[in-house]
Formats: sequence, structure tokens, C-alpha cells
Amino acid sequence: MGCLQCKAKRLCPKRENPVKLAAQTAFSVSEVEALFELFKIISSSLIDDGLISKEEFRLALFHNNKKKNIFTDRIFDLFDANKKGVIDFADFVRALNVFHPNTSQEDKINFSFRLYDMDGTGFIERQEVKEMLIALLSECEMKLSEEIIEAILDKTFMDADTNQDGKIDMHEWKSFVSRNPSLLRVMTLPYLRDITTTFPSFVFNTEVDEVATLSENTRSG
Amino acid sequence: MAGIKNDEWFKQDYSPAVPDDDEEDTYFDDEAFSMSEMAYDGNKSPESPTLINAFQLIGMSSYLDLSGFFEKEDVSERKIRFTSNHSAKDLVARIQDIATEMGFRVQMKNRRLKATREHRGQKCVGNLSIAAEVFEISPSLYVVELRKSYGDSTVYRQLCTKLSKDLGVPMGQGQGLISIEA
Repeated sequence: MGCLQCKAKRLCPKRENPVKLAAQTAFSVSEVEALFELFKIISSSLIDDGLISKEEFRLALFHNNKKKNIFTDRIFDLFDANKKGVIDFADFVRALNVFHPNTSQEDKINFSFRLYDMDGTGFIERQEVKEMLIALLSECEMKLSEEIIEAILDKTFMDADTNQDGKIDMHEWKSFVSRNPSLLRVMTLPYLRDITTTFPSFVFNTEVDEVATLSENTRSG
Repeated sequence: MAGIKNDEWFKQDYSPAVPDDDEEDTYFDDEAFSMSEMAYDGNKSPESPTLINAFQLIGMSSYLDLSGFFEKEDVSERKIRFTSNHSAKDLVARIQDIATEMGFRVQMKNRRLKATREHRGQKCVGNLSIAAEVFEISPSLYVVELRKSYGDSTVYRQLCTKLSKDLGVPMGQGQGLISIEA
């Protein structure tokens, strides 16, 4: 795969060497290439610049970008490793790698901690958990009384906040997750295990595009 | 795309990759599970739901689900959550009954219920595998999360409709079966 395959008008999305990315992640070279196909689609959906903006990120996940929410925004921020405000292909592969079924528990625990530590203070504070809980309830249109919400928070912090300082640090989070392993379920995407077989359409579509482009060029040439 | 998929050439040797949900069960480390059960109430039977913690609820958010990158359908076609005043035992029993009625093979594993319907020798149409879990919010309020592991969306919707009728949970309203507003 190289720039020759891109349509003449389109900028070729800048991307890191797939072999290098494969070496650094749980993906094989062909899996990285399959991810590149996915990346191209997402990164060109609103602005064709080879980068995923926050709006394109939302659009890809929820097929509409109208819904703003704290979780998607936070996940975007974690994908955007260098705080550029956009996600490039290397960011995309490295972040998705955390969700690979073969990735270590430790990496998933670290990512999930940073995810829930919304303001990046290095602690998951009670107020942050309350905010996330309220966001979930609103999403589900579930109405729970203030009492019940506080009771859930009480129980959570009794379980997780072992030094009872009102916030969960990384060490406490690690311990909490090891006692409640299902909490890491959100950190794995089974789809990633065999992405080239799961999405033959991506490879197939690329070839179709190229054939069409080739014959167009031949005719007009 | 649909045209391609229907073509005989494509169907030869093609079986849709099934996201293997089973490895999730490895996260249910049985030892860790029974230890946490004993921690707060030795009398609770292993089958009963645990009191929910905030992160279990938060984890149900569809906004934490990145499968949208890989699925064309809306996430509401794959997952529902609803609350109910029925007892956990009742909820599990009813889900089990309805699934069995619809020809599913039902397994209970820890706090989860897994139901699978597979027609061997036929095309994949009509196959479905789901997982459901019941959590306690308070002694009179439970939340159920039901997820499609893989399979036929139509059958999934049929199952959800039957459940909503049986449990008296109105669809698409507050406190009912929730679909994400597009």
C-alpha cells in the first residue's frame, strides 16, 4: 500500500509504517492495514484531511454527531495522545490496541483509570463518579432519587476507596478491578481479534475503488 | 454490499466472524467472585445479584462502547437496559422462560444468563446469542442489561419485544426499554 493507490485529488493520509505499528501492538501487519481502511473512512467523513476530528469520531461511533457526551469526549482525548485536537493513524492504532483481547490487564486498567479520571488529577473523585453516574442515568432515562444515588456512591467508595480519603487512586483502582473483573469488560472489543476476517468488505471495497479509478483514468487519459 | 453478500461466490466458504463473547467469562474469575460475595453477606446465594456499584452502572453506557466503529446498526439494536420492580429471581426466571419458549438454549453462569439459538445446517438467519445480567439497585429496584453477543437483529428485536410485554416494561419510554435517540 502506498500513495500511488490514493485517488489523485485526495491527499494521502499521512501514516506511520504499518510494520512499525504492528511491532508495537498486538496487531499483525495486515491487521494494521485493515485498520487503515477503517481509519480512511472515518477520517474523511467530514473533512478529507487524513485525521479524525472529534465530530468525525462521534459520527463513526454513533452514526450521527449531534450527541455530545462526556464519555466519548474523554475517550477521544485519550486517543489523542499528543493533545493535537485530532487523531492520526498512529494514535488510532495505539489506542485501539488497548482494547485488543490479547492486551495486558495492566494496560486496560491504566486506560480505564485515566478514562474515569475525567479531569486528569490522578484520582477518581467522588464528584466525578457522581457526574458520570448522572450522565448514565440521563442517557437511560432512568430516574433514581438523590438518596439512592448517594447510597450507590457510598457503597462504591466503601468498596474501592480503601484509605477512605474520598477519592480512588490508581493503586486502589487496580485492587478494586481485580476484585470486580467485569468492570474491565468495556475495555475489550472482541471485533479486534480477527479484524481482517471480520471486515473483508474493507479490503474488497478498496479494490473495487481502485479498479473504478483505474478505468476512469484510462478512459480520460 | 448486500448484493455482494448474497452472491454465491461470496457465500462459498464464508462464515461471518463471530465476535467471541466467551472470553468475557474469563473476567468472571470464579474465585474472585465468590470472595467478593462472602465479603459483604455470607448468606447470599451465588445465584443472587450483587448490589450494584457505580462503575457497573456507568459501564452500561453506550457511549463507552466502541463497537460502533465495526457495526452499521445503531447500538440500541444490540443492547438494552431497563429497570424493574420485579425481584431478581423473577426477572431471571422470566427471561429464561421467554428465551426457552423461543427455542433458545439457556445457561446460567454466575450472575449472568446466556441464551443461544443456533440452527445447524441452515444459513445463519435466525441465529442469536444474548447475555443478560441483573443488578440490584435497592431491594425493590433492579436493573437488567441485555446484550446481543452476535446474530440476527430481527430475532433480537422479537426477544426484546416479548420481554417488554411480559415484564410490563413499556418500550421507548422513561424507565422502559431504552433506545438511544438518534
